[in-house]
This record gives sequence, structure tokens and C-alpha cells, in this order.
Amino acid sequence: MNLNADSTKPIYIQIAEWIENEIIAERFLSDEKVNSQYQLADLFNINPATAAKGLTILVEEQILYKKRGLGMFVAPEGKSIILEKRRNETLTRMAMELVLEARRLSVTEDELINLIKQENKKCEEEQNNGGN
Amino acid sequence: MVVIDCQNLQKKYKGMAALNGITFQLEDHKITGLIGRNGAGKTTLLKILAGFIRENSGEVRVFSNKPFNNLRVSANSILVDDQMSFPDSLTLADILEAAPSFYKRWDAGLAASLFDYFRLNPKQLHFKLSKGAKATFNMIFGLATRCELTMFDEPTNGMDEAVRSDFYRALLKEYIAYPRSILISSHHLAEMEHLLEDILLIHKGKVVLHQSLEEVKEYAVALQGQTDIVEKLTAEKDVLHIKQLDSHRKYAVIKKEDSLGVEGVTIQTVSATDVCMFMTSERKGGIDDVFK
Amino acid sequence: MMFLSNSTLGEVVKSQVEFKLNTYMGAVASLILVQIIGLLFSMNGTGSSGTSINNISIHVSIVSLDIVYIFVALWAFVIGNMITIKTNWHSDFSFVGTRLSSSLANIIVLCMISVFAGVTTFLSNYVLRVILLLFGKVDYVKSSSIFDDPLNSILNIGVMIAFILMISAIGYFRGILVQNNKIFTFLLPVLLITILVTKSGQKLFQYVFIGNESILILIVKLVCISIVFFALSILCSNRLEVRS
Repeated sequence: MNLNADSTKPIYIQIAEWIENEIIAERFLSDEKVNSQYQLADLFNINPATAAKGLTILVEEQILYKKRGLGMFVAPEGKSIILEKRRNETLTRMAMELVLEARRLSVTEDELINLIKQENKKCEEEQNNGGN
Repeated sequence: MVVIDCQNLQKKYKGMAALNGITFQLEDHKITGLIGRNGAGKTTLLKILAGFIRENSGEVRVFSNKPFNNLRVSANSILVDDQMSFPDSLTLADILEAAPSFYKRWDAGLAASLFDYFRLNPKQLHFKLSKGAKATFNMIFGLATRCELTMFDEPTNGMDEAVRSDFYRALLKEYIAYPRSILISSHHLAEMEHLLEDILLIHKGKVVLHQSLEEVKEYAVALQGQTDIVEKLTAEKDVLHIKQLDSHRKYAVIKKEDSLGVEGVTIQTVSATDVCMFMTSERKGGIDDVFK
Repeated sequence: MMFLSNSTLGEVVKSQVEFKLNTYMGAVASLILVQIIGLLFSMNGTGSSGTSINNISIHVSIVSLDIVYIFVALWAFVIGNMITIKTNWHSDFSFVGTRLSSSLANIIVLCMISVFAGVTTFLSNYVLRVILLLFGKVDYVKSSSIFDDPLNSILNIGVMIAFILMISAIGYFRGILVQNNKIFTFLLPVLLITILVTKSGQKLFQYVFIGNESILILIVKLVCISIVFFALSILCSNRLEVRS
């Protein structure tokens, strides 16, 4: 696995996301130990302090927990926190893009909301049809 | 713990100031990149820290000792550069054999395996090595000493692309296995920034920036967009770099701050290399200013 | 947690001496060559006389080792000087050392080399005898042997060693001065000639080398001069900058 050094995302965020992906993919199960900062540094060819920063973010978000002298472990609710977070983040970003585009095209807020309602209705109908 | 402590360090060569009031402290067990342009004072600083040359004024402490003529500093530090010399009569194998009696933590195993890996000839004399091979050998020597303070001055000069990346990898592996304080100077920040924890940027014999790499990466932002909007946004701000892209678009780099989002202007990140370059350039427009 | 190794001055000097002996092995070996060349020059003899009684002609040659001594003295000067050249001085700092430890190691090495050179030069006397007997048209060689007068022979070896040490100390001092400033390359020969020309300079030379009551006093004088030059060298090298 390679990091994207040119990406606008800082390396430590990319490290945090890599661990999150591993947790989602269930390669790290809950209460299992994840890679240490030194293992991550070796794996990704980065400074251990950078790797530690990525781990710290996940501890702060309570996705990981620290056992003194033993290392970092996946919190039991870690996976659900990640999923929740990604859901929020992705939707928020898409909503922002939607709003920006709507403004550029001079679409009013009401029109936009109607549009979303319409799309939602279509989806529901399709689902119902599919169910029949 | 503090490994290096410099307070208002000055060094003059024939009346020219090479160091002009350097002040910084280096914590132990970090890899720090010493960045600066040619003539910024990087080499002079490293030589003072190694005890090779003496400062004119100011205070310098390495492991709490003055480095010039200090045995403790000499025994626990090494400076690897292209001027590193060994007696003309000794082969590379002789040199490696002599090292353990001086460096108590010398790692003979590491030296031997790196020596093999880079296909150096043990019977070769040091002064007859090519530039690249000399740099490789010196690097191996520096890593194998496992000195608490290991300093490299432009270590990759003369190395080919493959050896460079091998060197950086070897350095990281060694650092992970046996943490030590590493100070490494280079013109090429981009090729080694993944290794660094901190950056010490010096310019004209002074410290410009001493921050973590992540902070440097987020130090500045670039605004790109219509000339009038960019100019309005950057008015009254400390502009690090400016460039006219075409007839109606401008590119400006300023210190990072929040709430800059304005339509018609895109905000871009600025790489650590560019931050260092912009902060040490004489003119805001770089070389283009000369040709105006 | 930092792991700082502590080395004492004694340990470092010891390591440096071992390292330097290794480094200068070739230079020490060159002494043998110098001595052989000196011997070859010596074989013609410096003076001779011949007489003939009846049908027996006697040819007496005085063969001396002066040329060997001059060659060895030159060699000692070159060695003392060589130790100070940049690559050798700078290599000390690729390893562990201070200016003081390097100077002390250099001086110890020069002392050891001087002892070696002194003893071998003394022994070359015997080599010359053997060569003359084997290859020359010589029937009888007369010279004092170490067994005739052991005490005197030991004193002779002592003078030889002290003399070589002094010359190497001068060479070393010259090298250190030149490292400090290139101008000494020209200044020193001028200074030397000036001293030799002046009256007081000549008196000084006479006092040191001529008119000594015993060989022992000469040895003491030579060693004292060596110590003075070495001490001056330590002082002058203590501020030398490296790789600059």
C-alpha cells in the first residue's frame, strides 16, 4: 500500500484512513491490536512521529483505545463510529457541492428541496416496484 | 531532553558572516531536516556542532558540552559529508575494522551487510572511490557508528536515484530500530520529507522556521483566481509569493488562515518545499521579477 | 533516553596510537629502503690510504655510516611532517578524538618510530660489516662491537634515537605551522638560514651539539629540544579547524 505524498491530505490523515479501512474490512477486529507507530512507519516509509499522529486521531475519535505498554486496540464500537462518521462526512460534502452548483445555476432553495423530494420519491417507487 | 542548544551563534569567514545569530534547540530522538539555500550556513552550523570549527560568538552546547575539543561530543556524534577523510594508505576494510575501537556502539553487522548490498570493494582505497561510492561508504560509516547525534551534510550528493532511495530507507529502518537524533541537510526537501519530523529552515545565517513538517505543510495557502479578487484578498496580508498566471488570473501565496472561501478563487495547498523556497527568496515573484 | 558513551582521554589516545601505527606501517617500512640506499652509498668509503710492505700491500678504507645517518634524519623529518598533512589530521576527526588526543597520539607514534629507526640504524653498522666481508675485497673489518663496550653502545643507540626524535619533532612542528598558515612553508627555511648565519645562532648550535661532557648530556639535551617542539606543536594545533 502506498501513500499519496502529493495529495492535499496530510500523511497522518491518510494513515488514519488506512487503519479505518482495515477496520471496516474487518482485518482488524474489535479488541484486536493494530500496528504500532513503528510498524506503520516501516510499512509506509514515513517518520514514526507522523504515524503516531495518525493513531492519536483515532484514539481521540474513540475508534482505538490505548493499553499502557501494550499498544493500540480497536474499540468495540470502533467500526460503527467509522461508518457513522463516513456517512456524515460524505453526505455533508455532497450536499455542499449540490448547494454550490444550485447557486451557480440560480436554483432557489425551495426548488432544490423539491428536487431532492422528487428524487427520493422516485427511489421509493422503484424500490416498491422492485418489491412487487 | 535537549541534544543541541544554540543561542545567538555567530561565525565569520574572512569578514563575511556565515552564521548571523542562530538560536534553536533540538530535542532528542527526532529526525530534523536542515533546509536552506546554498550559502545559508548549513555546513558551517554542522561543523560547529561536530566540534570541527569554533564559533566566533554566542553559545553552543551539544549534550550540554561545548563541542570544540570535547571528547564526549566527539565520541557521541558524527558528521558525514563529502569532505570526510580517511588515511590514504587504508582500504575500506581497514577503516571498518578500526572503527569499533573508537565508536563503542559500532554495528559491525550492519556495516558489513550494507557494504555487501551496495557492492563496495573492501580492498579499495577511500580516496580512490568515485563520488557516488564515496558518498555511499560515508553514509554506511555514519549509520554504523550509531552515534546519539548523527549528522549528514548533503549525504546524497553524487548518489544515483536508486542509492538515494535505498539510503533514505536504510536511515529510517536504523532510526526505528535504534532511535537517535538525526540532523540531515539537503537541497532536496521533497525527496526526504517523508522521513522528517521537524524542519529547521535557515537563511542568511539565521533561523527562519523551526517547526514540525506537518506544520510547515500547513503553513501557507495559495490563492488562484481573477487578478482583482486575489489582490483584494491579499491586500494587507503578508504575501510570500506572487505570480501573474495570464492576463486575468493571479497566483498568490499567503500565510494560512481560515475563512478565505470566495467565489472565483481556488485555494490550494502549498508543499513544504515551496514554503521553504518562498520564505527564503529575495523577491516575491522569484526569478520572473528579474526579467520584468 | 540518550545513551552517551564516555571515553577517557587515555582510551582514545590508545586507540588512536594503534590506528596510526597501522596507517603509517608503509612509511615505517620505507625506512628500511632508506637505510639500504644509505648503505650502498657508504660502501665506497669516505677515506682510504694504502701502503706496501715488501710484496704485501695493505689498503685501509675508512667506511662510515654518515650517509645513512643523513638519510635517516631526512626520513625522520619527512615522517614528522607527513603525520600533519590534511588527510591524516582530518581522518582523526572521522573517528573519535580531540586536537589534544590527536597530538598526544602523534607524539607517541613518533617516539615509537624513532626508537625503531634508532635501533635499526645502529644495527645497520653490522649489516655493513657483513656486506663488506661477503662482497668486498676485504679481509679484516675493525670496529667496536656491542660486546666490546656494551654501555657505550647503548648510549650510542640512545643518541641515535634522541637525534631522530628531535628531527621528527622539528618536522612535526613545521607541519603543524604550515597547517595553521601556508606562509610558514617559505618563512621557516628563511628563519633557519638566518639563525645559522648569525653569531648567537651558531653559539646555540655549538652549545647543543658540540662540547658535551658526556653522551648522556647530549641525549638529555636532544630530548629536551624534542619536548619543546612537541609542546609548541600541541599549543599550535589546539585551535586548528577541521574540514574547513
